[in-house]
Amino acid sequence: GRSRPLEFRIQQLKALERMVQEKEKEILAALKADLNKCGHNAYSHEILGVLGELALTMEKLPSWAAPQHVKKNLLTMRDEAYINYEPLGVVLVIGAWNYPFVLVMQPLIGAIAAGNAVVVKPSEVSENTARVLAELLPQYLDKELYPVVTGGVPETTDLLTQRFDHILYTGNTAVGKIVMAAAAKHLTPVTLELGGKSPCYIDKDCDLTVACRRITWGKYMNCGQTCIAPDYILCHPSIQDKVVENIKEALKEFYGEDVKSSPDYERIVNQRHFKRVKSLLEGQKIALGGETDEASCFIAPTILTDVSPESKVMEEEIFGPVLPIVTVKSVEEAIEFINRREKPLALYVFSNNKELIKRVISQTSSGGVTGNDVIMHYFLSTLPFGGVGHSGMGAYHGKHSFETFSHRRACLIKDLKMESTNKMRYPPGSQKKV
Amino acid sequence: NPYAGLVSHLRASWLSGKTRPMEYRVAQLEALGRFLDDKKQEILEATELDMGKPSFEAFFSEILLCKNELNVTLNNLCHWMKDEHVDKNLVMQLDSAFIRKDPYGVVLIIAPWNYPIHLFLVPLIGAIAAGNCAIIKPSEISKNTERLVAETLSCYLDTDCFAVVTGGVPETTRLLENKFDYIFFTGSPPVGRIVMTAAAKHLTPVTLELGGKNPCYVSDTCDVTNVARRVAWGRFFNAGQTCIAPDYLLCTIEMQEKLMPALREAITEFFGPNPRESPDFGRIVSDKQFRRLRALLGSGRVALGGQTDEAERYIAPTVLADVQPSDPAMQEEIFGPILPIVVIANMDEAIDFINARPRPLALYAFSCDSKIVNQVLERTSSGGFCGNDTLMHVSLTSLPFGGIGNSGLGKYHGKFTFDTFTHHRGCLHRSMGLETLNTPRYPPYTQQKLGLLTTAFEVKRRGTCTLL
Repeated sequence: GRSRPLEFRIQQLKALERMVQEKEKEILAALKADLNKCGHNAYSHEILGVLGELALTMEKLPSWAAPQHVKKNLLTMRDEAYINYEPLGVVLVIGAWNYPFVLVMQPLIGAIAAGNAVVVKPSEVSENTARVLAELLPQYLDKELYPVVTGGVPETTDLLTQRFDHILYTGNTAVGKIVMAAAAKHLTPVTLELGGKSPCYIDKDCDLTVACRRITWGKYMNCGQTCIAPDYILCHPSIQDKVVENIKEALKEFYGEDVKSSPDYERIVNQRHFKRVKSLLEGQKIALGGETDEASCFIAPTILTDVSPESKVMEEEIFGPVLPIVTVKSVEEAIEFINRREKPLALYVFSNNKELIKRVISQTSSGGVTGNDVIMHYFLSTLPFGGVGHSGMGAYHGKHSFETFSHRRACLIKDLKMESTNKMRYPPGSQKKV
Repeated sequence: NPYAGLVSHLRASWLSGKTRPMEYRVAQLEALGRFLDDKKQEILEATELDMGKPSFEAFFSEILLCKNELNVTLNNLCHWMKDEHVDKNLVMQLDSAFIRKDPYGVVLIIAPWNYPIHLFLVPLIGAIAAGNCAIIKPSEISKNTERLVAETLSCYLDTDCFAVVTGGVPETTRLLENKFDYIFFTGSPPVGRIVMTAAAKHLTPVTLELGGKNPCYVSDTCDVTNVARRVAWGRFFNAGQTCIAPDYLLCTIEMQEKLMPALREAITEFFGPNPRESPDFGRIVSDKQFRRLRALLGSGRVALGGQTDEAERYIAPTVLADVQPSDPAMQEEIFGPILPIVVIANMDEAIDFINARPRPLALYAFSCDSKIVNQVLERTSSGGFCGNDTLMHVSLTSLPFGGIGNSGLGKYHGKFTFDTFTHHRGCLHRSMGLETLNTPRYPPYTQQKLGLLTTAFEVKRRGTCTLL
């Protein structure tokens, strides 16, 4: 029961906060080694969010954890009826390699806040961050309650044969199915943060300069390796060229004339993914970019135009700096296109027409939505962050993390006296009692 | 795939958007209400044929509680459906940030036999309210109710969007091969595992309302008469075939001694000297269940009841005393009118006993001392908890009803059912203007930009203060 008292949980969260502040250099160095992520990016995408989540959680925890009294009916008027927030027990957090620090830390924060013990399994693909987490977490947190397990597929498979009280997995759809099947053996609830192809519809009626700048930012950050990156664009053929032009301008603004030498542009995480993304360019019309360098896993920011919906690049989640444009004649066609495919993790729509945006949201389904921007819904912790259908199940961030890792136990406390009111429910039955 | 046609028909209806407008959902829910009103007599008769369910009980659980859920839903649907606006951070002050309540699509509801109308209808209320299409799979074991539902529900609900599938294990297995957008299952843990494994193939989210052995701790300081009545009521309701029934009692040997005459009194008060003749005591649903239960009577010693009649599938309200943890009655969920008493030395031992076992769906503690009730609550884990009574916590629609660990995952009743069948979609609708505010996030990165971002996004910890 050591992890249960609020004081203990807050103490652990404070220790995590100290860790992030004191070991910032080591964490940033690991992110640089794993993804060639520059300090600014690493700090703003990973560290800042973690610090924010820690501060929010420590402040709100007492109110989140307090029993929630509920509305009573006539029969229970004199009783105590409330929902008690309780830890689930021992939870497993499996991280991903693309934002290897925050995707372990944010679930961990929620799991600790809810009073659980946590097994942390960082991705082996981002091996430097995995090592740093394995070294640092035991230095700051209770060594017995929050162990870090490192390793690859065999180790994770072994880990998944164990019984946990909740599993939060961030990764791809295929492995998501494996995790859920393993969880089913123990009836373990799961939160699966998966992926898919997040569509981005650009309406004719919109400020293309602004729209394309925002899209460029979200698409090419982390070299396209973001689960909520706009995966592909849907737009009218008449604006396709303008879209390419505007993105080209934004890229110059961001990375200068020679992207490869910009300190702010990342690399593909490893050879396997480099080859995978590169192969998506085959047979495509490259309107911009297309340069690659295998030795450094560099792929330039690339745009493909007039892409066929049946091509390989439109089959799987790209997870790289390649942006296909598929032309559609109308927003209805765009909606139909989106609905014919698996539900994405994120959906984006750009338009000056508020009603059009509302329509697109209402007639589609996705994990989350940002209108007139990309990525940003991730940064508002009052919004639940998660997928639907093939893009996942469950959600977290902020209070949603706390609730994900808590059991809401219904409690009704009655008086042992006051038996007379109970008589009407006891047999023998009678019409009057009814 | 024998059900592929049906599922794709429902999916086409779903894609047409038919189930989404509030008016449509209200119309379908009101039709469900008419079903309950029109078919009340048939429901009472079918459940009586299926398991000798006393009409008083059937009215209470299959009609009254269902209508409550309908009314709570109809009264609040408009509010539940609305976009839920959320607090925003500094950067998003001018944006619209809300949680959109999206239906999942085509959902599957699998119901068990013990409360055969209630356990498909209450989930269905939430599924419809949330805007989904649904396939209902009632239990083949309560076959009269199954027939009633299969034959009459289609007269009330839109058959393009709601269908009933009948059959046993083979049919359910084939049904589960299809892709659903949500599966709601009520039944046993082993089948729960099968359902979740099938769901994993399609990444279908699930709610599993399972079971287990619900412990009932009775402390030495208590009003024995009232305890006996409340426990007997909860145990023998529906002849014990209730997932939240008190499964076994934990108390000291002195309390066991005191409880026995009180339990005898309560049983006589409820069912008369011969419960077999009481219209208010049910029967076991099947021969298989009857034989299973009869075999448990060898555990401990029969202190009250113990009579059986195979032809009627009657098992008398029975209390077994001095039951050992290794006895058959303590190896599985009883699901019958048999109450074993396991003697423990004190509350700590009771709590240890409970915690050494899988987490139950419900947990009961009786004491005049509220500190004891609270201790049991705090030192254990269970789906739900009721102090000083049994079953009643599930009649309050504002409390979530669900299990934990082996007893299940997910929850429902009231708004929780609506939320179960809803995808909570985080939406941020930003303005195209004010682009300068975005500059700090764009490359090329500078220390100054980082400083601005930090200020904009940071959540500062407020100083803690202690209130005396």
